[in-house]
Amino acid sequence: MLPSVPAVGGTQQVVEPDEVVVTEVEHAVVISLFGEHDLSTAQRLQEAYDDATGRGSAIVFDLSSATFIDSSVIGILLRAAREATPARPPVALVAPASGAPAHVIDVLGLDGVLAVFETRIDALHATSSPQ
Amino acid sequence: MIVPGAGRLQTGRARLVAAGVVVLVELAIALPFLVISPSDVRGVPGPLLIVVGVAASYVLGPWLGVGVTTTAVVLAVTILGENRYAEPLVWIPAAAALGVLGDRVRREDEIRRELLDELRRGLVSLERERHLGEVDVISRYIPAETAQVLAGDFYGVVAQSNGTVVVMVGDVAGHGPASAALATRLRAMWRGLAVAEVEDVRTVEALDETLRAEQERMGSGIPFATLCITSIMPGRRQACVMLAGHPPPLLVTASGEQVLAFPPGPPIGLTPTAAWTSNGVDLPAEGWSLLLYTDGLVEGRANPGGPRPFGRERLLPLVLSQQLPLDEQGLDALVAGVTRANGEPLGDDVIVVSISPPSGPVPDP
Repeated sequence: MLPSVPAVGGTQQVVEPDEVVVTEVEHAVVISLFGEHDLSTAQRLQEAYDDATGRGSAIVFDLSSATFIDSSVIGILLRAAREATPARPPVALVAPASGAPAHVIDVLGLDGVLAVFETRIDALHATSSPQ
Repeated sequence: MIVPGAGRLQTGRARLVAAGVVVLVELAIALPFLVISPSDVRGVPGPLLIVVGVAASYVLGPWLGVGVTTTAVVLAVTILGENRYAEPLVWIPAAAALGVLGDRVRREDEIRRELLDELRRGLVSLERERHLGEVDVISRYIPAETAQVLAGDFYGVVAQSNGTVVVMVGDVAGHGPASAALATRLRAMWRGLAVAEVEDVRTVEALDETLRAEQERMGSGIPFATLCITSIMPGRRQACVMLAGHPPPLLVTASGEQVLAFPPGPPIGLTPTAAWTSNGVDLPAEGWSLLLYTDGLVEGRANPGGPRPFGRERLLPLVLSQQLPLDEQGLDALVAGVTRANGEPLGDDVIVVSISPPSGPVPDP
């Protein structure tokens, strides 16, 4: 079954597996990962992130539909978190505790380094409040 | 067992093909001149053009060299009306240039392979002896077969003078020469600290400080590295495990896995405020193996064409199907089992180290 996400403008869009999808929601750019992501797709994620930073809005990485991520993805997330200074828009992650990405973050001991949230609403809420 | 240079680089062949294409294009350009130009002979020596071609390739590099050779041939054929030598004049310098090009590609390939092998040699333990103090330590380093992928997995083994045996497995995030070179430095530095019997937490702090300094010099690039340092204390009934963002070792006994559950410290190279702790683990008297590995071992596919990752929970039955404590054959069977499930050679480097009570006769020190 292919997951679907609301595209900009409200229409539904079918998403291929192992895809990086960028949507704009209110104050934030949401970068969603579907399926498996490793070194081979890291470039697309990096491009999506670079593009999003240019827009000046908060950035939310939604990993709730990702079934596998490796350290290349974690590396990009960490760089993003590091670059989010008070002068720049905040970065948050969506990774439900039951999912594979949350497990990877857990094994890496990154709970204290990355801002991880259970749901997209939580992450959007956290990035909208004044820092 | 080390398998150096298993991942062969393909770039040499690709460049040779590209050079062939260039020569064919040259010939296509030169051919009309051969047909049009008059047939009187004024004696431009072919060997001169060969010398021009070879010299130009050496001095200017293959691409410019071929360009200069082509120009010289075309000029000789058109302006000087040279036609008697025309055909060999086009063919011979082109072939010479191609030869030079091939030679250069071969030498570059050799240097590249040497560098790759040298980097890989720097990633693995200097220890060659299997029996170390009161334990046996066996290991496998399997570089990814995918061309160009050079990963930053590294490990080391040191028997300290007080009888403690320390095993370290680490993984620098990212791929490529920068990650591998950094990994060799961290491996060498760890060994020095371990030989000097610096305690694990202080060792990790020193490695962390060094990695952050290296990052500064390199201008980002490498975001972090993970480490697992496991010490088998004298008496062989206790181990100390220190995790920096690394998966915990698998402690297997005939009755199953003893879960080593303690919160991991963060990877090194992230923040100056990070803190790590050493965790004590009780070991059974006999019949156990402690398995340290890098994530490449469990990040393949669960079955051919199936989902990733293979996962730690599938690793355990594979280990338990071997005779414990794990021996060389058992470790090979384990890696083979993981690779079989993946359906193709694993796409990332793998390091797996097994620590066990000695099996078989222990040599006199």
